[in-house]
Formats: sequence, structure tokens, C-alpha cells
Amino acid sequence: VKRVVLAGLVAVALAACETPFEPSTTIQKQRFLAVIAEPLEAAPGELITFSAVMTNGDGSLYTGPFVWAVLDAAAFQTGGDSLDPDGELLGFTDIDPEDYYFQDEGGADFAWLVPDKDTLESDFGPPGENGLLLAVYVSGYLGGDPDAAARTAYKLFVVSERAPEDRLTNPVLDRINVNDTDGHAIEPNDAGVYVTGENEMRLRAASGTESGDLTYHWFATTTEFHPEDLSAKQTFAPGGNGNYAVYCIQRQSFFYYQAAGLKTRIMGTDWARLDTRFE
Amino acid sequence: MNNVPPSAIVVSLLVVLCLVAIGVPTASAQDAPAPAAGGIEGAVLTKGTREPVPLALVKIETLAREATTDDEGRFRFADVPPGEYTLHVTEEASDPYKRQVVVEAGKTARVTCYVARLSYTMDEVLVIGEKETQDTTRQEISKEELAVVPGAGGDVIRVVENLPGVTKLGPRGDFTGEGLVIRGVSPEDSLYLLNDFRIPQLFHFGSAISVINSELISDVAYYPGGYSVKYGNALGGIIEVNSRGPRTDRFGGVADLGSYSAYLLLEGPIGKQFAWAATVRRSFIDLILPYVVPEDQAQFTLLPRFYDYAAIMEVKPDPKNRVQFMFMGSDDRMGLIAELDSDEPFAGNSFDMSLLFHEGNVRWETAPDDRIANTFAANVLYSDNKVEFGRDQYYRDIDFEVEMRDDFSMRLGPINELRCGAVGTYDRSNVILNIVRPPKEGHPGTSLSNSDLIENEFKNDLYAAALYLDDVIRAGRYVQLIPGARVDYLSYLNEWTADPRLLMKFFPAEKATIKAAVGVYHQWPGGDEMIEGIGNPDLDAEVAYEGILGFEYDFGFGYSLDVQGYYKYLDELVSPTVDDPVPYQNTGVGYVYGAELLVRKKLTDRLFGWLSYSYAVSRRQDTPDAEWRYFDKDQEHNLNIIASYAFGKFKQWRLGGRWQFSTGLPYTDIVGSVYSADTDSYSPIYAKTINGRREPPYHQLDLRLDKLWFFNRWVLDTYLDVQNIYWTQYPIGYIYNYDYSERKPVSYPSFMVSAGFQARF
Repeated sequence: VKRVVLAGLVAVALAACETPFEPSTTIQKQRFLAVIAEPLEAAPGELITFSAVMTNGDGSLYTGPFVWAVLDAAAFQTGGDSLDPDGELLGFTDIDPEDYYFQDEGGADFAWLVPDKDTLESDFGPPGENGLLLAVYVSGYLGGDPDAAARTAYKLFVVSERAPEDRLTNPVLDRINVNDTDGHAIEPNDAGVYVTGENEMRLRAASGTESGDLTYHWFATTTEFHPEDLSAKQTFAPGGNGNYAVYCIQRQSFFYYQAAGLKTRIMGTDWARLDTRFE
Repeated sequence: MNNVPPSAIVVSLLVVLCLVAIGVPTASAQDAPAPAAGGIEGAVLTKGTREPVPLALVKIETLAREATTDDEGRFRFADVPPGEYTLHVTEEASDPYKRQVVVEAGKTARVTCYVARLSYTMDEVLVIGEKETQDTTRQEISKEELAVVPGAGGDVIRVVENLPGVTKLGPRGDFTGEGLVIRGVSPEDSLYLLNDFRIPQLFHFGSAISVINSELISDVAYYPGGYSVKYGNALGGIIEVNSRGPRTDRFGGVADLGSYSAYLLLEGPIGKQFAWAATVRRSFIDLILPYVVPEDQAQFTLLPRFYDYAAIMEVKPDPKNRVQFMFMGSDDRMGLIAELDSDEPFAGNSFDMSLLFHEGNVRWETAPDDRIANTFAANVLYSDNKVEFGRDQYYRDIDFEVEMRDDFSMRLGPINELRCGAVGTYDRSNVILNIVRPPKEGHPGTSLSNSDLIENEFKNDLYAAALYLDDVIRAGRYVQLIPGARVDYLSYLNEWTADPRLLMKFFPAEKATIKAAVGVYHQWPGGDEMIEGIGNPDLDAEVAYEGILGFEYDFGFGYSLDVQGYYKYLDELVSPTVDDPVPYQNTGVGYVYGAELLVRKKLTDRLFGWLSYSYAVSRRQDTPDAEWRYFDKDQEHNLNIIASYAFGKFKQWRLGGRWQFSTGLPYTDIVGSVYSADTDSYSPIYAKTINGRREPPYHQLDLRLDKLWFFNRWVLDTYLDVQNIYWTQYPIGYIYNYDYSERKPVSYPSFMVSAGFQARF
């Protein structure tokens, strides 16, 4: 019990310190905001399309090149959650394309045809009661230069033969409603930019999925959103005139049971982007 | 008188007696009838403690009479003419004392003389070090010394931290209350015993105060290694605490008001065979903390606080038998919400903790004759530990344990003393949990958001048994050998272990001792490591092979030297697995070697102190293919210097200081991070070399000032204790930005001032 106490206590004690850093909701450098597997759970022989949402430091979308690989989720969870401790896998330099499902120097999407059962078992071992938990890893290179350092993300997904109605699915983010302070809708101009003469906008994510487990992660090219405020409604007041990119990532939380008593968090994901201008 | 024949004296006395008997007044009575004589009875007691002062000289100078006090401090003057007198009391170790007494005719004046002792001493002497003289090390430290060691807050168990072999964890250890790291192994590898039975925790939250009130402790035995086969199931050291008997002379007690807690102790006899003592303590950190932690940083849902209690009842039906009942318990609770930005979405910023236990034991010591002694003891322990943190993580363990043991010793002649014992334990645990797997020693960290969760609920019954036998052989004047063996059995693993050990002492000169020990020490895996569902039920016991060589010398005048060197090889250590269906295997090995030095000046007059230095290297290899790495709490150098000096006529002032220096603890660097698109958080990537970096060295100076105030029937002790007087900043950890590309150290203020009052009556 002492180790449990220590793990929780130290984590909370450190979290209780006033952070001296920019919040994670501020886009200041090239970084991932989301990776989506569509569908989140698929059967052998079906096609899964992975897509990455990576921004540049100015808030624009990074379009590539990307490196993609599908791996056993547990392969990188040494001691719990990290990559191989030597860090060499960051750029996938050690991955043999013969061993893994690999796409080099591709775009923001990666289509993967799930192999048949025998191939899956050969590559990833026998499936559990609820199928196989796999991970897609994706790296984007700084400045788009394949010789530069990479940023890496991973996304869990499931391959199973469960009935379609029992499978994990992604939520749907229909749109983001934008209103002024009086509650009037702001429509995008011809360039798709939401423009206001006021100093704030009211944003509301409209989900096409009914669930109590939905969260909304908001990002912008300014320090505005609170990392712990995961609600669908936000007030966006960047505090100065200019153009600001806003991203909203909608997630739906599931627990995937690998075995009795051992469960993993896995999220269904959808996203949207707004271009705003304050005049 | 020499010229008067004895027969004449006898005749004269007979005549006087006859005259008195028939009512004929004597010549003097006829001259002036004198009032009937009175008397003076009294006692000479120590001012403050009310301890009797034997052999004190009590004088009535105007009558040129004197009396000497008996063992109870009592004296008596008969046939004292009425009048006012001055009593003068002198005693070697006390300040001269005088007081007026009025004697009335035919009456006895009763007086109590409270004399001030030139040196105030407490009742008991505690043993820190190995209690049994036959074993490898023995250090005695008086309670008076222990109570005033700077930085220990009067807690005798915390004084152990200053002895060789104990790693100084600095503010991080103080903050997390990790326990004692003894000779390079984890705190959970050492054993904490109260009256021979395990106590589930040694310190309250924050580790400033131990769960056992020092007032009720008779001795603390600290065995860093080389201990006898009486002790098992530990790779590391033993801290053994024994409760004292209640006072039998009178009712008394202690009321203590410190900066962070207060307690009350009452005790006394009931008749001639029974005595009792009871104490209760409560912290009031919850009253102070709101002023220390800004509200915008952390909001306590339940401010940290603890209680503890203890009660002892002792029966001595005859000099050969003693029965003691003891009950104790402890309750620590805390709840916290940090309303701040967090980049770990499922770590959450909340923490709730409740650590509770109650324990009761009975101990019957009997010694029918000088050759045989037996102690039977039984213990019941109930504990309920709850931890909740993050959004949904929780752990609760309700444990019920019954243990019985019998320890027997018999002298087989002038050379041999045979000792043996048996222990039986039943343990039932009910566990419900939904947590990430806590990091093991050697694992740099766990992401609370991105790690798999273990969700389970189970009940387990464990049976354990142990038998031991050793023989204390005093082979001539120069050699003492203690060969012994111990076997342990654990039902859950269905495994037996055997621990042979040999302790040796050589006495080349009167004040010199050479000590040596070799032995095997087994320890069962932890419950979380072996219980099916969360661990691996096929694990084996961990094992240590240890050898010790040491030298002790007593220079006289209170100065002594103790030097030890040791080597310990660790095998079958439980290590986490990678790509294995079970989470743990016995794949780890390790070694620890070191040297320890203790130079002491015992309290003889006004000065006491010691210098302890430990050199140690502790390394591990988690799997046969893994790199060797440093143990998480490896500390190469550790130095403690303690000195305390009493001044004032009655030594009522005492000023002490403690300076500590230690090598920084190792840690593993973070070289990058990977983004989890599921939880919108980053997991750190640790450097390949575990514990390849080291914190800067740590040093700290503590000062303590005590002042005793003596009243006739009680003593007031006031103290001021300042820890880390020159404000050494030392990180308890690092805070990182969301993707681990930047970090800053987090230092909690380890500068601490505490003051208190203690009334002893």
C-alpha cells in the first residue's frame, strides 16, 4: 500500500505546484493534437483509415511527411507506458517493415487492411476474449524534414470479431457553433473565417453522439483555454486583434478489457478546426 | 561517665522509672513543667520528578541533630521540643536545601523537602543498537540524550535515522514518509516490530512522528544486519520497539504540546500487582496548513491529521512472572484537491488517504529459575488502508492478522545458552482496487493516464510459520559463537526457506571486541507481487547472503568507537517483466557493500554527541540481460554529526546541533516523450541507463534549545527546534511541461521551526 500512497501523493503534490509553463492548450510548436482510427474497432479483412492531426507552430496543419506503423500495443508499454527506453524508436529507425505494418514518408492518412486471423495471430499473438489491442504509431518530422527530429504519437484500436453493435466506435462532432456575446450566430465568411468586432466569441461544440462520456479538448494559438475545462462550451477571448486558429478534439472514453482485471483506456475521437479573426 | 560504674547507672534509671510510674514528679518537672516534645517526619524528594532521594543528610542545626534518609527518602526526628527550626538537607548530587518547620507540643510536623538535583535525568535508559548483548552491535543511548537530539522532535525512533547504515532521504523522504532505508535496501525490506510483532507503519503521514508514543517505549533495538535467527522475513534491517511497564510507585503523567501535535499520558499502580498507562495523541497540522499552503494552489477536502493511542496494563503476580497487555492504534487521514492546470488528465488533482490500524497483544514472561526463561505472546492486528486519487483510481486493503509466538531460552551450563522459538501467523486480506500498477524500485515512473488499470477484488488467506534455534556458546574468555538456523513456511506459495546464520565475537582485550557474522536471510514477496490476479503466485522468496566484520573499542570516559564493514548479495529479487503473461518474476539480483563508523561521546556530565559515517554502494540487475544500475536510494556517503551541551547550575539549559551531509540520490533522466492520442497526454521516455543521473549532495543543519523549569511536583520542559537552519533547497521532484521538454525542480520548504511545552508530573 505504501507504493500506492507514494505514487498518488507525489503525483498530486507535484500537480499542486503552480505550473510555470505555458498550458498544453496553447499551440506554439509543431505537435500532434489527435490521431483517429476509423473505425475504432474493426474485424479481420476490413479497412481501417488512420489520420493524424498535427499542427505547425503557427496553428496551420502539418501535412507531412509522416511515418506510420501498426504494432502490438504492449510492445511499447515496457514497464507501463513508454517506448523502448533507448528512445531509438522515436524515428522508427529500428522497425523492420517485414515485421510490422509500415508506411514510410506518407501523408496524414494511412489506410490499413486488417489481415486475416491467422496472419494476425502470427504477427501479434493469440487474441484475447475481446480481440486484439493494437496501436498505430505515427511520427511527423520537424519542419517536414525527414532528417530532422521527429514527434511521435500513438493511438490504440481494436481488431475483433465482435458483433458490429458491440464494437467501439468514434463519436461524431457535427459542428462548432459560434456566437457573439449577445447570442447571435457568427457565420464564416467566404474564406471560412469567423470574424468578430467584439473581443470574444462563444463557442459550442455540437456532437452527433449521445453519451455522457464525451470530453472536448480545445487548443488555440493563444493562451486561452484551461486544460482541465473539457466542456463543450467555451468563451474564446484571445485579448487582442488578429487571426487565431482554434481546434476542438472530441473524445469518447471507453475501457477495453484485455483480460479479467486488466483494462485499458481507449478513446473514440473526432475533431474540428475554426479560423477566427478579431478586428 | 567512665568513672561511674554501670550498676549505678542501672539503679538510677530504675529509680526514675519508678518515680514516673507512681506519679512522683521529677526534680526538673517540679522546677518548670516543660511542654511535651513533638517530632518531625518527612521525605526528601527530587524537585520536579518527586523521586525519593536516599542517603540525604537532614540536619536541625540548632539542636545539633541529624538524620539520614532511607531508600524511600524518608527521615524522622523524635523528641523535638516545640519551636521553629530550620531543616538543612544536603546530598551529593543535589543543591543544598533548607526550610522552616514549626513543631508544636505533642505533635509531629510532616514535611516534604523538594531538593533540586544538579543533573536532571529521566527514568529509563533506552537501547539503540542491538539489544541482546550476545549479538553483533550494541549502542546504548540514554533517554535524556534521545529526547534532545536536534531534528528528531523528541521522537526516539527518529533518532535511528542518525545512526550508521540509514540512508538520509532529505526533504523527499520527510515529505513522503517512505520509512527507513537500511543498508541499501527498500523500506519494505526491513521489519518494524513492536513487542516482537509487526506494525504496519512506523511513521505518521509526513514521517515527522512515529506511530508509537516515545513515552511508552522502553527500548529501541536497531539491527542493520547480522541479527540472530529470532528475526526473519527481512532482507534489510530490523527496528524493534519494546513497550515499557507502567510506573508502579505513584500516579503520574505527561502533557505535551508541540507545534504539530499534542498528547497526554497518564499512568499509575492499582494495588501492588497491577499498573496501567494510557496515552492519546492528536496532530493539529490541519489547523496550521491553511496558513502555509495558499488556497489557490491546493484545497484540502480533509486537512491532514492523525491520531494515535496506546494503553498498557501490567500484572506481576510474583517476581518470576510478568504479564503485559498492550493496545495501540493509529489513524491518518488526508484529502486534497489541487485546482490547477494538469497535463495528466487521468492523474486528476485529487488525493484521499486513510491509514488505520488497531493492534492488541499479550505477553507473558516467566523465568522459573536463573537458567530458564520463556516468553509467550499473541497479537491481533486489524488494518484498513484506503487511497483514492485521480478521477477513478482507488485501493482499499482491509487486513486481519493473528500471530502467536513463543521464545524459550535455557542455560545448559557455564558455556551454553540454548534459545529457540516458534511463530505462527494467520492473515486474511480483503482487497479492492482500480489502479495503475505502482512503480517498483528501479522503475522511474508510471503514467497515471496512459498505463493499464488493474481492477480487481479478492480475499486471501495466508498462513505462515517459523521455527528457530540457536546456541550462545561462550568458548573461553576470548570467543563467543552463536550458530543458529531458522526455517519459514508460507502456505500461499507452499514454500519453505532455511536461514543458517553464525554470529561471532572475539574479545582480544578488555575494552575491545571484534565482531563477525555470516548468514542467509529470506523474505517473502509482497502481497501485490504474489497474489493471483495482480501478481504471480509462482514466485519464490527473495534471499540475501550477508557477511559482516567489525571492531568495537571503549576508550573510557564515555568515548567509544564502532567500525563495521559488510557485503550483501541479493538473489531471486522480484522484478517486473516485459512481454510476459505474469507481471513479476524472480529475475533480479543485486549487491550492497559498505563501511560504517560510529564515534560516540556518551552523556557523562554535560556533553554528549556522536559522529556517524556510512559508505555504501547498492546496485541491482533486474534481468540477466539488463544493465547493472544503482538502487533507487543508493547513497555513497552519509555523515551525521550530533553534539549537545548542557549548561546552567542545574543543567537546565541544553543547546544541541546536528549537521548532515549525504550524496544525492540517483534518478533517471527523461530524454523525450510520446503523445498518447487517446488521453491527450504525453508519456515520458526515460534514458536507457536507469538511475544514471544523481541529485546534488544534500546537507542540513538543525539546532535545538531546551530549558527545564523545576517545580516541586512537576517539571516543565520548553524547547525550540529549528530544522535546516540555513535553508538548503532540495527538490522533492520535478515538474515538467506537458511534453516533458522543460522541467523545473519543486522544493518544499524543509526549513521548519517547532516549539513545544512538556509538563511531566
